[in-house]
Amino acid sequence: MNKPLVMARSLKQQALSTLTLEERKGFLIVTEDIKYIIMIAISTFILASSLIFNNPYEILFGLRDIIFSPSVLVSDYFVIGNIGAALFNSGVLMLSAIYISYKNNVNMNGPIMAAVFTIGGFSFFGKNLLNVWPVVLGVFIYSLARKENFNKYLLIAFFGTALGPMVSQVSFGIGLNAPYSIALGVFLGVFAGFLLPPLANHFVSFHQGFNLYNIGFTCGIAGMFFMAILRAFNLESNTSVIVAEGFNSVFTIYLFVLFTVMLLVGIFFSVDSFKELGRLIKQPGRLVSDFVSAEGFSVSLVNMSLLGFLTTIYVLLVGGELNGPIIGGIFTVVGFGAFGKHIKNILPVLAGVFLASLLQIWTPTSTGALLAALFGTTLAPIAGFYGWKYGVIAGFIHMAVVMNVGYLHGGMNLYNNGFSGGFVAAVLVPIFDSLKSMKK
Amino acid sequence: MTNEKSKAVKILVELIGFFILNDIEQIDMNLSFKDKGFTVSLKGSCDCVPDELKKLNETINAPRQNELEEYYWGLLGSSNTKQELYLLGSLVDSGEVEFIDGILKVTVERTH
Repeated sequence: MNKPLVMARSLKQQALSTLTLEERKGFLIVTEDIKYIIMIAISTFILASSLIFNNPYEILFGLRDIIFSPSVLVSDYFVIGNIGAALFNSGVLMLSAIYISYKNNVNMNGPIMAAVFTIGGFSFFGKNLLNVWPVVLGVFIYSLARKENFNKYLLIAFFGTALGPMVSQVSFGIGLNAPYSIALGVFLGVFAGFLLPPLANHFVSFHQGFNLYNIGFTCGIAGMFFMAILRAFNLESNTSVIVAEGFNSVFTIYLFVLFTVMLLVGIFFSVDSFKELGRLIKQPGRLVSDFVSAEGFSVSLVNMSLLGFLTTIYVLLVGGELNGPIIGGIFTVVGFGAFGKHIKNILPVLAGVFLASLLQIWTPTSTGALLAALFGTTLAPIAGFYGWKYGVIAGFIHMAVVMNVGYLHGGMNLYNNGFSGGFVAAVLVPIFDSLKSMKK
Repeated sequence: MTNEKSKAVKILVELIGFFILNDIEQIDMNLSFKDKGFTVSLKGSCDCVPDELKKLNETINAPRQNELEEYYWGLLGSSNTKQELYLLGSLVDSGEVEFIDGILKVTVERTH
């Protein structure tokens, strides 16, 4: 007779009352309050650092220029406003996202951390204090219509702010008269936000969770439809590449300070960071891989900082410029260090994109190629799940695809790489599955 | 089909996948809806102790994570990986895993 194995069902109550998941696993206690405080500290650092670069007067006028810009891809807020204004914009939006999460009783887990960093990163080139709110409001109205708690849709609202440029572009970029254009832009943003929840859930199965920026794919489809309708009325979106140059020294120091502090804080709260990291990098990273809940907050912070160092060094090694979009890309990779990405699964994709930029028509130092490398890591789960060779192939193909899909949404979807990643994953995953099964 | 019934089907499929991956070939299933939720229960005989039972028990008893629900529940039942079991855990309120005399029984409950 087999030995009886019966497990109690009271763990839930224990977890809810006194014990956190990390405590149960024997990690040092990192309460939700501490997680929130650390995230607030990082955001406040970014906000306060704006004063290093510009005085409050300059920041105010820089913010005005940022808010009234069309903000379509690729609009570097370092140039459109100024560095201080871009950092201020980023810090305020990160703090806003943290506040909204807190008020909605959401744990500071991997996906929320990824969302906060993604908002912070894209606030250097596309999201601003004006254009994110209509989309968030649209998602909120959807939750009211469904009579559901808003916290169920919080991630969609946060990531959905990728459509911020739709609001800005219609408000300030297509030549309509100002009061009406702003009303139309806000209306379209709210409408798009209202449509996002059912679409996001539907499209996540399209790529089977192998494209980490799922909302990028969803917003790409939504943006494509909106852009098609605008073009039908002869309203064209004029995309351009506006990027800053010459700030590598100062931002290398800036980013290295930030990532070093994150690393030290992570190590401080870890029992054995090497061992914990060794366990974390064994995960394929496929959706839904919440490293904070599964492996702990401290080791996630270590992982995030290592990804920050790696991506910054990659940009510097290939001779790229640290400007708004590139730092936005680095921030996004860092954020997803809590939600699917680690050094082992992003390296093959980075290598694939780099290889593509050597062989294809784009130079590795161009903004497009660097953004493809950084955001191409949306396909990291392919390397984590199938192996590094498959990750290199995914990165190589992603580079070609991402350069072709931006036209479809006219730059209105900031997560262009997530849009491309959805197509790449949807095509490659069944093929890789088939190859794997043939080997067996 | 309502959203909640679709989720019940997805949760059921996910658990069927877990049983099949553990070479359980005859499965008894029960899905019952109540006023404010539903219970899914599966039972089958297994020659050896299935993998990661403790992990499964811990996962289905972990606190619900509302923020994952509406965004990701569509992934349930697509590939039967650890990530999906984690997702299942974030969608259910409580659960019970029993393995007695070669019979594996898994029950999960969800309220809405």
